[in-house]
Amino acid sequence: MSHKLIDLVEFLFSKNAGPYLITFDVVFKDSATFEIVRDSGVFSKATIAKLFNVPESRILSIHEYPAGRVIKFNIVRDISSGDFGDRSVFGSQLWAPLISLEIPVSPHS
Amino acid sequence: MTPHDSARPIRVVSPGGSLGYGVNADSLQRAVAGGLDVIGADSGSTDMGPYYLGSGKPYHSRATMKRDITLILEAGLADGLPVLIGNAGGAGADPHLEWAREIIEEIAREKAMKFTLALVHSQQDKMYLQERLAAGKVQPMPGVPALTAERIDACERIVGQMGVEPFIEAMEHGAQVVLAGRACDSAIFGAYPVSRGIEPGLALHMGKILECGAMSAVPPTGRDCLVAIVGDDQFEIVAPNPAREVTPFSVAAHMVYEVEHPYLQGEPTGVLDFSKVSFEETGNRSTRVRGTLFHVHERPTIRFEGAERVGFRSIVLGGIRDPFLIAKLDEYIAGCTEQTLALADQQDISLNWIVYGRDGVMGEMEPERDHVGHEVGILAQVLAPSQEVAHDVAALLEARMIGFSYSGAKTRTANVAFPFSPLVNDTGAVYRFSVLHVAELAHDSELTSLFPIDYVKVGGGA
Repeated sequence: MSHKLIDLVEFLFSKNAGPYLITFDVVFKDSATFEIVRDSGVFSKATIAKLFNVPESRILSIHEYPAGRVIKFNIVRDISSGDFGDRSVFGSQLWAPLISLEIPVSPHS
Repeated sequence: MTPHDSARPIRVVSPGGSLGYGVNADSLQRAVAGGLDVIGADSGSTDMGPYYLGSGKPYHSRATMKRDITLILEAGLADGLPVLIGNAGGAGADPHLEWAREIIEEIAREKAMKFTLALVHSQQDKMYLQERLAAGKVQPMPGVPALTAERIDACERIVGQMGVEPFIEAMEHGAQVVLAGRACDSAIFGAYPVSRGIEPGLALHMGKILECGAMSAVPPTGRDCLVAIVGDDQFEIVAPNPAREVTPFSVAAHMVYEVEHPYLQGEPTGVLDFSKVSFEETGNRSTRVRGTLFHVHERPTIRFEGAERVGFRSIVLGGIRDPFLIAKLDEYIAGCTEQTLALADQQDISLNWIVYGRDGVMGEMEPERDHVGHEVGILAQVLAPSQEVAHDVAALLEARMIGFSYSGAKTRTANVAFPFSPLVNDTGAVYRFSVLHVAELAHDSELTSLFPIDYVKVGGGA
């Protein structure tokens, strides 16, 4: 069975981590849910690259921080914040593709 | 400075995420009533993009900035507290520092205030960064291209991001109000506790939590105050506003905000490490934090930021409701672009289109690009070496946009509903953060000497 990510999170957002990186915070409802998703291994460079239609080389890093119940990942911008052709100076509003990400949940968890 | 008496913790207030957004005066009064040792205030970032650093223009509303500075000066001077403001004017370069200084002097005149003001400059002589680059001591921030001498030369201005040292020097010199240029937000709040003997890692960690005001509380907002009560090996985060509470989760979730790494964060003199941090609810809508590690750098580093002008922009904004044209948008955009460039006969022109309702926000990252709405918004932009050329080319572009004949049209000309006359709007210079690099310093003393301080006796001075 699986869940959509949106049903598991407290909140989701994207924001600048400096002018060259977009950082995505996926913050879960509770620690148990955070652990289930972390252990599912869904948040891989390959999955994120496919979801956001960018080469894996632009996924700089994926991190977790249990105290914040957060999985976060960083995408390198193709155009830095505020440069000609940029679409989101603050790096905001780029998280929508995460909404329907399928998270496999084992029946034992 | 008197050394820290460990029996009496140090109380620091942050009036909000950014001075100039509108400080919550009630919460500030509650914080003052609770007893304070220092008022810190962050007033900028790189978050708003490179325009402000490049142009030298301020980011905030002047009227609201004046109101907010008035509130913290009144609170600070009444109780003899140091008031430390960092990232003046948004980008913290000399024109921004001057803008904020004028506001402070205006307030002091109107309110008959007297105090010693320290102006801490962060704008840098390009030669210093050139020398560090030539010495092989400059590294890009993650995702940033390697630095070259040409990029440094091309910047309009460059700032360095100071740590606690210049703030401490200014306070030791007797400044009651410190107005600093570009600064690490952790340093604005951490400087006073460090000056009183608190361990730098703990003090800077506290500063990281306070920098966005009540973003670390529930419900979160950057538009309200937050207080830290700092002891020798822990600090407590408190929301002065009774409508908010600070929980272990609210603090931890904010610690990862707007940073690449959730628990390793670089500072001029070392790396903060939150991997062993523990959080404890105190039962009074507040949370105690302990266990911060700080890995001291062998050599200190300073982050440099520089904005380069890449050209001037003119824009044409319009909407399309014609379903037959919406079906042919790619053809339309390619055709208008091609005809405009052919007619313009100019070098170094860039055209860019943003189609709202299709992929305006996400561009190539948009997975639902085929789900186009019943109407779309078109933002067509021209970048050129001068504003005159940008305007000229945008005028050509607008004429193509209204009249371009696309295949399968069920209408004639009049392709776009334009909301403005003038149809072409000149938005000014466009900048790029060409410098976003960390330099290892040659000497520890550069932690202060790169940031020279002017002392001004405001209102006749104290």
